[in-house]
Amino acid sequence: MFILSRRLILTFKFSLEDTVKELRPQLCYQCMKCSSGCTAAKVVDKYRPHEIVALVKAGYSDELINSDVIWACSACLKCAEYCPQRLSPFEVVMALRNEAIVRGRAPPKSFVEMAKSILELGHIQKPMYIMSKDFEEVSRTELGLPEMPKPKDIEKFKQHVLLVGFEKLKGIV
Amino acid sequence: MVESEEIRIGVYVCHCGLNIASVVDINKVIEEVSKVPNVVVAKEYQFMCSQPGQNMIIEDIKQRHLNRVVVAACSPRMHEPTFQKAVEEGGLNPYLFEMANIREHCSWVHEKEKDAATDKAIKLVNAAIAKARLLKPLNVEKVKVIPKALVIGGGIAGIRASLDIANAGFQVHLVETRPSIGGNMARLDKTFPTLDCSQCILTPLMVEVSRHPNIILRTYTDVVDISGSVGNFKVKLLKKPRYVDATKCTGCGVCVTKCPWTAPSEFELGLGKRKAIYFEFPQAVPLIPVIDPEHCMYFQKGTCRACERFCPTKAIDFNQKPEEVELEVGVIILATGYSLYDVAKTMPEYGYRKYKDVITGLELERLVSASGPTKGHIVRPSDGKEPKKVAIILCVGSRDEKHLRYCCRFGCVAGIKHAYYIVSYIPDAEVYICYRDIRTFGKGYEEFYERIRNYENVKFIRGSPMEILQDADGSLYFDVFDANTNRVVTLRPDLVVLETGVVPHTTFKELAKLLKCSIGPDGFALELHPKLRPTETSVDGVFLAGAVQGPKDIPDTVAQAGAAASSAIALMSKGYVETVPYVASINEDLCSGCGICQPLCAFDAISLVKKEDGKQVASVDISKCKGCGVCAAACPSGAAQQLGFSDDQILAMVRALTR
Repeated sequence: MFILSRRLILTFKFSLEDTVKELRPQLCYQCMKCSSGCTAAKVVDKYRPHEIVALVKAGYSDELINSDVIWACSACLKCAEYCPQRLSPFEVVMALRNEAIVRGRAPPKSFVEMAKSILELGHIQKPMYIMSKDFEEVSRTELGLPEMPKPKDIEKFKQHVLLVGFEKLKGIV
Repeated sequence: MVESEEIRIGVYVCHCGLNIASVVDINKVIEEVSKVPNVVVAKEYQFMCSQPGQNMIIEDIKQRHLNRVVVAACSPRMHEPTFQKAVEEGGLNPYLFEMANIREHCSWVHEKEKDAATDKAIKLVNAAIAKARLLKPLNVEKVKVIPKALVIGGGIAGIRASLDIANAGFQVHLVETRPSIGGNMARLDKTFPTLDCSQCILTPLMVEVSRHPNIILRTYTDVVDISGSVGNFKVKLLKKPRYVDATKCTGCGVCVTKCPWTAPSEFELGLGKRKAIYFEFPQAVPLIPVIDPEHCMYFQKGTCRACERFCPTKAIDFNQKPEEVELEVGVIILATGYSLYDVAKTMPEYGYRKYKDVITGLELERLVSASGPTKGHIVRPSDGKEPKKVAIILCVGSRDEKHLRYCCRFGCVAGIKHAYYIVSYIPDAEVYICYRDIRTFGKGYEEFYERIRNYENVKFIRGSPMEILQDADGSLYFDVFDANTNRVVTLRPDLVVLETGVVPHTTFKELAKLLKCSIGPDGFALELHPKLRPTETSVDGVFLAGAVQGPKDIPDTVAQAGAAASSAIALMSKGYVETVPYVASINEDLCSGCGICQPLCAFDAISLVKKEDGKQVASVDISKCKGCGVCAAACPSGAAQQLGFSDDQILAMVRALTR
C-alpha cells in the first residue's frame, strides 16, 4: 500500500531502535483514530494501537515485547492509512514482533502453528481449521465449510520462505 | 566625500548578552580585527543595539573621524536599520555601514565548536571590513503615496479595515468578488463565546460601508491585474455584469419573486435554492440582484424575460457587458479570507457529500439561521426530520500531516457552539463531541466551554473516529475509542457535523501571484515577521487582514484588520515612502544592449532604450526594481550592478573569507 513499502522493508531488516527512529512514534498526539477504527481492537479488548504507540514512545517497549498483546494485530493497515501524523501503529507493532523473535521470545502458540502450517502446507492455518478470536482452533467441517485444496510444490515454497529468516521463530524448526 | 580620502573604519563587536559571547571569544575577535589595515577603532559591548551602544558609534564617528562603520552582531534583518540610523546621526551616509552576522550565522549554529566559531567570526568581520572599504554613499529617494486604499475582500476583515481607513479620511475602494459583501460571517447564526447574533453585529457595518462617503463599494468585481509599487499601485478590475442596472434598481425583489428558474444557492452552500435572478442573501449589500446566465432561460434559450416584464423601474439590462475599471492606489489590503477544506474529495472516509446527513459546521449554521433554507429549524437533510442524536467531529482535515498541518483555530469553540445550537433548539437531543484536544484559548472561550459542559445531554468523547459507515437501513454509525473511559463507543447519530479545516480562499493564490507577495508553506499569505510585523507582507504597501494570513476567529480577524488599516493610514498620512537604494544600476558605457537582463527581471523594471547616439542600452525603473540582483548576476559585461552589492564589493568579501 502507498507509502508503506520502503518503510516496511525497514521493519524487517533493522533493529527496533532504528525502526522506531524512522517511524517517529513521538509525533503521536493520541487522536485515537487508530483505536477507533482498528479491526483487531473490535475483538481483542486489550489491543489498542494508540496505547502501544504511547508505550513505545514512553520507553516501555520491553513490556510490550514480553506481552501477547502485540500479536493481536490483523495487519489490515487502516491505522497506517488514516494516521494524521503519518506514523504507522501497524509498523510499530511489526517492529515489536520482530524484536520479540530476535530476543528468542516465542509468539503465542497459534502463531507458531501458523508458521508451521505455512512451511508445511503453504497456508497460514491448517486448511481444516479456523482460528477463533481467543486463538482457539475450530474445525472447518464443524462449521460446515468445504475442504481446502492442497498446494502443489511445497518444498520450493518452503525454500523461499526460509530465506527471510523464518527459522528464527522459536519452536518452528 | 572625496575618492582619495583616507578610509577610517570603526568595528564594533556585540556580545548580544551571552548569545554571541558564550560561544565566540569576543576579545580575540577584537584583537585580530584591530590589526586589519584601515581599522581605527575596534570595540566590544554587551548590547550594541542599546542606547549606550549606539552612542558609542556616534561619538567615535565624531571624535575619531570614522568614515565607515562595521557592526558584528545579529542578522541585518534585525538591526541594520537601527545602526544605519546611528551612523546617520553621527553625520555619515547611512549606507557607509556594513553588518557582520556573527549570531545566526555563527554562535547559534556552532554552539559546540567554540574555537572554530571564533575563527569564523573573525573571518566574517574581516569580510565585512573588506566590503566596508569599497562602500559608496547611496541616496534614498522619496516617492509620493497616493492617498487611496484598495481593500480586496468584503468579509468582516475587509469591512472593518475599509471603515477604519475611511473614517481616517482616506478614500477606499472595497472590492468583493461575490454580489454582496458580508463574507463567511454573514453565514453564521451566532458568534462564540457570547452567542450574539452574527447578522445583528455584521449588517449595521455592511450598511455603514455602503453609506460611507469615503468608501467606493465594488461588488461582483474581480481584481485582474496589479502593477506598480508602494505608493503607486495600478490596479485593473473586472466588473462582472449583473444584468441589472444598479442606478435604476430599488431592490424591491419583484424580479426574484417572478423568476421561474432555480439553482442551488451558493450562499446556502447548496442546502437551499435560489432563483436564476437572485439576491446573495436577504440582507445583501448592495441590495441589487444578479442574473446567473447559466440558469437563466433567456440566456440559455432566448425566452422568458419575466424579470424584465415585471421590473417596475426597467432596471433589467440583458446587454450588460463585463466592464474594466482602472484604479491608482497607494496601499493595498488583502482580506480574502478562507474557504472550507474540501473534505468530500480529500477525506472520503467521513462520507461528506456521500451521506446526506453528514454536514459541515458552516452548513449547520445555515440550518440554524432564521433566514436560512429551513427558516431556523434544525432538520436532517435526508428526510427533514429533527435529529435526536448528533455527533460533532472536531479536527476534520486539520492537524493532519496528510491534509492540513495547522489548527483551524475556531473548530473547537465552533463545535461547542454547535452543540449548544442542538440542545437549545432540540432540548431532548443528545450531542456527542468527538475531540482530540479542546483548544479554548480566546477570551471567554474556556468559560463558554464550561457552560456547555454543564449540559447533561452534551457528551465529550476524547477520540476521533476513523470512518463513518452506513447500515443496510441507511442509518449512519461509527466506532470511536474514548480515552476518557478507555473503551470503544459505537454511535448511531441522526446527524453528523464535521468541523472541517480551512484553506486560503480560492482567489488568493492568483492575487498573490499578481502582487508577488510571499506565500507560506501552508498556502496562506506570509507575514513579514510572525510576531512583530504580523500585518505586513514581503511587498511594501501590501497589508494583511484576517484569515488570508492564517485561520482566525472573528475577534482576531477584526483586531488584525484594524492593525492593517492603521499601517495603511500611517503610510498615507505620511504621504511619501523612502525607497530602498539597493537597486540595479546600469553602466551605460559597458552595456552592449544585448537585452539578456530584460526578460529575466521578475518585476518588469528593465527596458531597452535607444540613446541619442543610437546605442541601445538597458534602463532600470528604480520605482519597480526590488533589488533582487538577477540582472547583475546575468549581465555578461558587468554593466548591470546592484548598488550596495556590487561585484567588486562581493569579490572583496570572498577574498577576505578565503584568505
